[in-house]
Amino acid sequence: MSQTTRLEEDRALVAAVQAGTPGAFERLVRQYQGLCWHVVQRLVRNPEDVRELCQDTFLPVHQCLHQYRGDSPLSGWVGQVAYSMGKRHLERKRIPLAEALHEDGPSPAELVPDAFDLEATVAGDELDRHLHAAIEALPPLQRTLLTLYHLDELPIGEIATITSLAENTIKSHLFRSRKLLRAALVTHMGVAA
Amino acid sequence: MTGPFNNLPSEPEDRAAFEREWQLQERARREQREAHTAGGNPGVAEYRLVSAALRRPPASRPPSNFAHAVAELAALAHARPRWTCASSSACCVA
Repeated sequence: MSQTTRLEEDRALVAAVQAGTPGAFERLVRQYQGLCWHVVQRLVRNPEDVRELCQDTFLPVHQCLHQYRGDSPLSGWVGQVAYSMGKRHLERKRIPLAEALHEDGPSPAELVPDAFDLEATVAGDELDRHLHAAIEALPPLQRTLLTLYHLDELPIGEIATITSLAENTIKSHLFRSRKLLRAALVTHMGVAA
Repeated sequence: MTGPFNNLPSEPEDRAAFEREWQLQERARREQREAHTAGGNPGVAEYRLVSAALRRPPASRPPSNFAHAVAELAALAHARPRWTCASSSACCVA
């Protein structure tokens, strides 16, 4: 879907909500609940907290919808509120949002002599579990950025809107986190071999 | 790599190394997303596995009635006669 079409659909949806069209806000929530869930879940993790914070995200979105100008995707706006909710929750719990990642791990590619059919041969349950454990071990901010970029496929510019971080900062976080995950993968494969 | 952990490297050599590895990561992301046949680059193959794991949705999802329940709550909140948009609301200050 092109950016223009997306914006037109967002504007139409917002207009429908503001006009009091039955079911319009429910449609809006349904459309963006996945994004909201991903953002909050990656930051917070506790299922009950996630549900409550997602609910708390959409209520101010509804209340402040008149402020939406329609010049940027609604996903950025919803994501921004969700991120803000999750971040405040972490602050209340005194959980650090971001931590420096240390890249000094084992050298990656050289440890795998023949990786031609790597995906087909090693993509087993154990490896999958190992990678997921490594993802879960990342700090909340890094987990969230990776999810927005890989799972929700948001461009870095839109992630910058959501998180209020500079694009280069996001790029740096993505780079270092992925490098770390690759190192964790290679280490595991070396141990398993 | 120089600079604080959240910035891109400033030294030309570090910057070049960063760009090479970044391109590897991005190629793997594209190939994994578009389900291309795996090529012969070990680095890309490893990053493809990372990319595949990152694309998997978390186990927890919104309950099926979530949107309906939230819409009802929003309607109730909106119906309150004295409600005004507080400037400290998350949407206004995010």
